[in-house]
Amino acid sequence: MNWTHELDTWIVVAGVLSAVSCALLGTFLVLRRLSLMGDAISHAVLPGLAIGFLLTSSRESLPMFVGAAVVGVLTAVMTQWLVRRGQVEESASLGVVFTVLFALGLVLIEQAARDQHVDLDAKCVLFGAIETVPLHLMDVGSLVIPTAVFWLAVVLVVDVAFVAAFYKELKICSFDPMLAESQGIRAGVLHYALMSLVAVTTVAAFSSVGSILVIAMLVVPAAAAHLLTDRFGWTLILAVVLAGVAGVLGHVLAIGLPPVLFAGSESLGGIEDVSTSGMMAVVTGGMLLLAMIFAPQRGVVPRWVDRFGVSVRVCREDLLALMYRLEERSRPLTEPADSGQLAKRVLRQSLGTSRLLTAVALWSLGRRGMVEPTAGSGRRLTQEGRSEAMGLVKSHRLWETYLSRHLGMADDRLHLAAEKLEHQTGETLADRLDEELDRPTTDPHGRLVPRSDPEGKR
Amino acid sequence: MGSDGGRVGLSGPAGVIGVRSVSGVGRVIGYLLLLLVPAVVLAWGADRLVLWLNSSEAARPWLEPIGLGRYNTRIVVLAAGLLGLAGGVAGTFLLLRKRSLVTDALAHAMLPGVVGAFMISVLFFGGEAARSMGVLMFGAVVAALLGMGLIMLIRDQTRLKEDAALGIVLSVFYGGGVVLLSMAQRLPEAGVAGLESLLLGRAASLRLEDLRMVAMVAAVVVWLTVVLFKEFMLLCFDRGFAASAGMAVTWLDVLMMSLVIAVTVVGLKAVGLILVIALLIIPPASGRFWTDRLGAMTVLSGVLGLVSGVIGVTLSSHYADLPTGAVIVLSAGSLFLVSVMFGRKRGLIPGAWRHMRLKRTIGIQNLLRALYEQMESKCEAAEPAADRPIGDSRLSRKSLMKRRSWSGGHLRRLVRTAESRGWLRLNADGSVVLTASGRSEAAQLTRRHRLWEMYLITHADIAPSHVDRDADQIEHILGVEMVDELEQLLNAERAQIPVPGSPHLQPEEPDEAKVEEGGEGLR
Repeated sequence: MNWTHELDTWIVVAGVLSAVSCALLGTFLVLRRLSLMGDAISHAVLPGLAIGFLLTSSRESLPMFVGAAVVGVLTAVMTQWLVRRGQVEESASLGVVFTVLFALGLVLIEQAARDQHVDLDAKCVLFGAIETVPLHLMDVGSLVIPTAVFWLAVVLVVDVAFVAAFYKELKICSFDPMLAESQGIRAGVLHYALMSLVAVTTVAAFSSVGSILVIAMLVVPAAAAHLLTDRFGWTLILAVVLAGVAGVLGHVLAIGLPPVLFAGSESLGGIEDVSTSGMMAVVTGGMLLLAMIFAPQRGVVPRWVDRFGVSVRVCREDLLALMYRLEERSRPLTEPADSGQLAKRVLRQSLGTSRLLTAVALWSLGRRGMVEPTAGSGRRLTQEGRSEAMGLVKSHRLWETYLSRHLGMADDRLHLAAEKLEHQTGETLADRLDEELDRPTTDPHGRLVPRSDPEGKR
Repeated sequence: MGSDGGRVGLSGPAGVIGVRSVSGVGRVIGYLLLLLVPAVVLAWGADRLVLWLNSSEAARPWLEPIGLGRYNTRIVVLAAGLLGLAGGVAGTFLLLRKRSLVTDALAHAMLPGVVGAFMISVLFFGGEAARSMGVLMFGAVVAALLGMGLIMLIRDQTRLKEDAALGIVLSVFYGGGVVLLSMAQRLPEAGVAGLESLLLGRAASLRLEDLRMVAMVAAVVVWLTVVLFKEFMLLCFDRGFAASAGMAVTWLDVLMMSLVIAVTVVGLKAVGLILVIALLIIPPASGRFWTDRLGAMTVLSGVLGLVSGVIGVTLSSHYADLPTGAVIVLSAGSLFLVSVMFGRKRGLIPGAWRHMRLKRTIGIQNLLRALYEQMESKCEAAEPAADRPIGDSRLSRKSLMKRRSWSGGHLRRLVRTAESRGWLRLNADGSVVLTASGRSEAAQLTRRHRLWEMYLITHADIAPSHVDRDADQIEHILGVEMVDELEQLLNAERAQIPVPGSPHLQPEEPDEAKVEEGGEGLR
C-alpha cells in the first residue's frame, strides 16, 4: 500500500465526512421507508447543476450547488404532489420524477457542453471523483485544506445541529406522524425540512465524492444499525460509526487490496488501486452482511445458536427420561442401578435424533454430573441424574393422567402430547398438577408415577 | 373483472385445456406447450420479420413513406419503439404490484454483472468474446437475478423493509460495479468505452442484432401477457385469492419479474441502465390516468411506450447532439404530463371539470329547494286553500339569501343557469318564479330531502333539529331505487303524499313577508 499523507488522508477525511452526514440523515429515511429518496435525489439534481452552470456559465460550485439543492427539494415536493393529487403510487411517482429530471439534466448538459465548449461530464457527476478531492485547495485561516472537505464539514455541522435540535420531534414523526400532529408538532414542515437537508447533503456529498457513495451511505449503514439494536438513539450512533469506519476501510482496501490480490496475475497485476467510493459502498455492504449474520438475537448465527440450545435441552431431557425408563423396566428403582449402562448408539437410535445433537446432549449431561461413563462406551445415570429424570417422567405421567381424565383424550394420543408438555413443566406446576389429580399412583397406561417419597405425605 | 370471477379457479394451461387435476409433470408440460413453445416460435417469427424488413426489396416501398427508409434510422426507431412497447406492457403489472422501483435496483445491480462478464471474458477468452453483446447480457441477467434473490432474502428474513432492501442491493451492487469498472479500465484490452455507454445508453450504436433481440423480447412479453392476462391481473389485485384459486403464484411472480429483467437487459444499450427503468415506469403511470380497466391500461401503456420511443428517436435524430435515451424519456415524460392534465379518469382538468359541474348541480338543486320551501311556507301563511296555484308567488333575492350563505354574485349565476335550463323565470322586478318543470323538479328534491329526514328521525333516532344538515348533503345523490326503498320503509300513507311535510314544523320567520316586500330586485 502506498499511503501519501497529502492525498490519501484528505480523501479519507472527505469520505468519512460525507459518509457520516449521509448516515445521520439516512437513519430517518430508512425508518420512514424512504430509502430510495437519496438515489432519486442524487439523479434528479442533474438539471439543477446544469441550469446553475448555464445561468452563470462558470464552474463555481455555489450556483451549481444552489441549483441542485433547489431541484432536490423539488423532487420531494413533486413526488408528494403526484401522490396526493394524481393518485400515483408512491414508488412509481418517485420513479417518474427522477428519471424525467435526470433525462432533462442529460439534455441540458449536452447543450452546455456544445454551446459553451466546456466539458461538464455526466459520468463525472455520476461516479464522482473522490480521488480529485485533494486537488482543489482553499485557505481557511492559516490552514490550507481541500475545498470539498471544508464544505462537507459545514454540511455535517448543519446536519448534526438539525438532528440535535429536533431530535425528539424527528423521532416522534418518524415513528408516528399522527401522534406528532396531535402533540402540536408540524410533521409536514419537519418532513420538508428533513428532505431539504437530505437534498443539500446529497448534493454537497455527491459532487465531491460521487453519487454511489451517497446512495450507499444513506441506506446501508442505517439498515445495518437497525439490525443491530432496538433503540433509536443507538441506531443513530451505530449508523454514524459504521459509516465512518466504512469510509476509512473503503479507501484502505481500495488502495491496499489490489496489489495483494492480483500480485501474481499478469493481466491484473498492473492494477494498483480501485475506485475508492465504490469500495466504500462495498464495505458497507459487507458490514450489513455481517450484521445480518451475527446481529444479537436477530442474526442468522445467534438465532441458530438459540434454536440449537433449545434442541440440546430437549434432547438432554429426553435422554434422561429414556435412561430412567430403561432402568425402570429392567430392575426396581430403589437399588442403585449399576447395570443401567447404555451405549451411545442405542440412545441415539431410540431417540431418533442426529448424531451431533445426541453427542452434545450427552456431553452436557456428563458435564452437569447427571450421567457417568461406564466401561466401554456406556453411560449410566448418577443419583443426581436419576432424581432429575424422575421429575421429568413424573410430570410426563401426570400430564398423561390429566389429559386422559380431564380432557378425555384417547389413550394412544396421550404419550405424544405429554412428551411435548413435560419439557415446559417446572417443579411448581408439576406439584399443582399432582394436587389437582389427587396424587395418582399410576398413569393411564398403568405405569407408576415416580415419587421420591413413594408413600406420599398424606 | 366480475364476469371472470367464476373462471379463475381454472388457472394456467390446465384450465385452458380443460383438465382440472393434472399432475406436476403434466402441468409443467402444459406450461411448456402452451406458453413457452409459442413464445419461442413468436420470438423466432419476430426475428425473421426484422430480418425480412431489413433485407427484402419487397418491404422497401412500405418503409419509405413512414420515414424508415434509411437503414440506421430504421433500426433505431424500430428498436426504441418495440422497447417502449415491451416496457409499457411489462411495467403495467409492475406498477400495480407497487414494485416500480424494483427495476431501479435491478438495473443498477446489472452493472457488476456486465463488467464482471466483460472482465472474465477478456481474461479467459480473449477480447473477441468480450465485445459480444450476448456475453454482457448474460452477465447482466445473472447479476439481476442475484440482486432479486437478495432483495427477497433481506425483505423476508430480516426486519428491514422492502425499500431498504432495494436501496441496499442497488447501492452495494452498483458500488461493486464501479470497483470492477475501475479495474476494467486498467486492462490492456480496449473496449471499456462500450461498457461505459451502458450507463447512459447510446441508441445510435444499435445494430441489427440488438434490434433482433429487442423484437424477440417484445414478442415474448406481449404473448405471455395476452395468455396469462387473467393470472397476472389476479396476482396484482389479490395475491392471496390467486394462491387459494390454485395458481402457482410464486412462479407467476418469477415469470413477471423475468419479463421485467428481460426488458431491462435489452434496454441497457439503447437508453442506459439509469433511464431504462423510465420505460417501465412512466408509460403505465400515464396509462393509469386514462382508464380504470386493466386491459385498456395495458394496451394504452404499451402504445404510449411505443410512441415515446418513436418520437424520442425521431427528435434526437433531428437534433443530432441530443442523447437519444434522454429524449425518449423526456417524450415519455411529456406524455405523462399530458395524461396528468387531461387523463379521462384521474386527470386534473377532467377532475376539476367534474367537480365544478357537480358543484353547480348541487347549487341549483339547493336553489330550487329553497324556492320551493319558501313558496310552500308563503302559501301556508297566506291561505291554506289548495286552489290557488303556488307558482304565482314571486320570491325575491334577499329572502333567498337568508336561507343559505349565498353571495349575491353566486346566487345570480345560479339563477341564470337554472333559467337557462328552463326551471325558473326571472321577472322584470328581479323576483323569481318557478316554471312548471322547475316546480316538479323542486318538489322531487324536497321530497327526497324530507324522506331522508323522516328516515333519520324514525329509524336512526336522530333529533329533528339535527337532521336537516345531513339530509342536505345526501339529497343530491339519492337515486331512484333508494327513494323507492325509503318510501317503502316509511309508511305507505306518507308515500302517497307527493311531498311529505317538513318534520320541522316550525313556522317561517314572521317578518318574512315584510322582507320580501322591501326586497330589492335581483338586478
